[in-house]
Amino acid sequence: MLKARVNAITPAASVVLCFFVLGSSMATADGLAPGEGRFWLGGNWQTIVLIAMLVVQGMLIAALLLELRTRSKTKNTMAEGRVKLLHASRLTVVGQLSASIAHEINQPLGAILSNADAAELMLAKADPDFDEVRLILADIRTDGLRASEVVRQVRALAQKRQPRFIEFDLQDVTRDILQLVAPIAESRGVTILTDFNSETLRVRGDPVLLRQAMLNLLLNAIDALMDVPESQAKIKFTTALSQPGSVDIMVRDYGNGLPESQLDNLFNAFFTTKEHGLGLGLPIVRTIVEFHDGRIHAENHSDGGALFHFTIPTADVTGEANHFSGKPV
Amino acid sequence: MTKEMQATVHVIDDDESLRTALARLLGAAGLEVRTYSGAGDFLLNWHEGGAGCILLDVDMPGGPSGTELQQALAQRADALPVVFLTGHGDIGMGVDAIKSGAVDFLTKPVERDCLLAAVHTAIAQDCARREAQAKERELQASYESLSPREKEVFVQVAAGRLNKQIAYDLGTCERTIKAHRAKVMEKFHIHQFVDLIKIATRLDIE
Repeated sequence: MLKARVNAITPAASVVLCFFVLGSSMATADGLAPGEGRFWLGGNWQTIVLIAMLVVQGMLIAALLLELRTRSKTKNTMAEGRVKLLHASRLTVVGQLSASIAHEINQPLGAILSNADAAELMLAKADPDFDEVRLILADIRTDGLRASEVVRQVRALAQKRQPRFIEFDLQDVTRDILQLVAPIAESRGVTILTDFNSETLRVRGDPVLLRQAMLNLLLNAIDALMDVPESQAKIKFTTALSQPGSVDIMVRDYGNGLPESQLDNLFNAFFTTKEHGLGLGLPIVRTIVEFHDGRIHAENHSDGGALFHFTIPTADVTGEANHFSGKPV
Repeated sequence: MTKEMQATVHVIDDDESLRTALARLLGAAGLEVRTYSGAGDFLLNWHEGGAGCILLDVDMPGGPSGTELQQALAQRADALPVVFLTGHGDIGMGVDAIKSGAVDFLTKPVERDCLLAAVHTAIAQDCARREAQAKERELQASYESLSPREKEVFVQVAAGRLNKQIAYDLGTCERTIKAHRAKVMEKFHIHQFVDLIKIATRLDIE
């Protein structure tokens, strides 16, 4: 931005300089030959053309400057809008997960409360078993940490934050996601089969954004299996290092697949087939994947069901991936 | 209360730390506790017989849910009363649970007093049911111990007929009927005629 401004200032300054030089040279000519009169009265057509050209040039430069500024402003507004959209959709995901979150938090809280109650009763006895009370305290501590870890994960998902491209192990994120999604899948009678390369998958990117992209795909797949028989209600979640420098992430359901006519529109905003859908899930996934210099596509698997497949570069290949201009997400 | 002392609370929850905590609390409150990691574990390891109740988690991923287990158990005559515990219950779930016979529907984290009150209510319910069933069995046994002639007399007496009428019907004398009647009273361990009618009603004899 600063560079653009300096570039823009240079021609503007040169115009002013030209006028200045021209003016002073005229003044000198005036002094040397008083009989000929001032140049603008003299009808020197060459001078008039020169001035006209300079004025036109100046106006052109001003117009270009103005346009440049408007454009960068629009770009900023767009980036901001996209970022807001991402945040909003993450909050939607948090909403969808709320039952599972409540369960994850209430379990340790319930254990803490009952443990504390038990300890109180034990200590009220004539001959308290202090070893047991010590065990209880250790368990209370563990459960406290467990609850706070859940809160941390939810915050990481819902927080407005600066996107951070870091190097990390994609498998850590996939494991996290499975933990979040498993209760929902189970409650809908859906089985998630995983096929993870056992080795770690080092990638460079924003773990929170990638987590959301995968969450959206998995939640979509679960929705897609709503009306299929239980034996068919399966999702295959695969991560693999298929070719050097590129990680493949695939979410495949064994449902009824996507109508061919919709394949082209899937990633368009506000296109939805769900009764209460906003049509933002897949566009957001695509935006996230593209932030990471990756590609995504959807197809119907030859054995039935829909397959969503995206790639992102591995850590050593990804160069500069900083597409945000530091706006909080 | 003395009967409650022998009662066992069966805690079924898939979360180990919560299960342990609940077991400690109930144990510290003087109750006998057994824990199970899920519906399947309970069905495999539960030995019927003893009085008690079930403290059941609603949401257990993998395997039958708490509600499914309750519905399966409710088919049995010796079903233990169920107190539900849930992490995210809504009104609908609570209503369904109570309708299908649960004693209470508690949400986690649960307060000690609520939990203990619900568990004691459930145990009291179970004890009352057991007592009633024992009484019934006893009566049934007494009834079975009657001779065929005594049974006949018992039925007729319960129907409100006079000794004279019964004697006429059975082709014997009133004195014999009186003797049979006395024998029936003796076998049921009762002294008053009105109790005989009550027993007949209970045994569903017209």
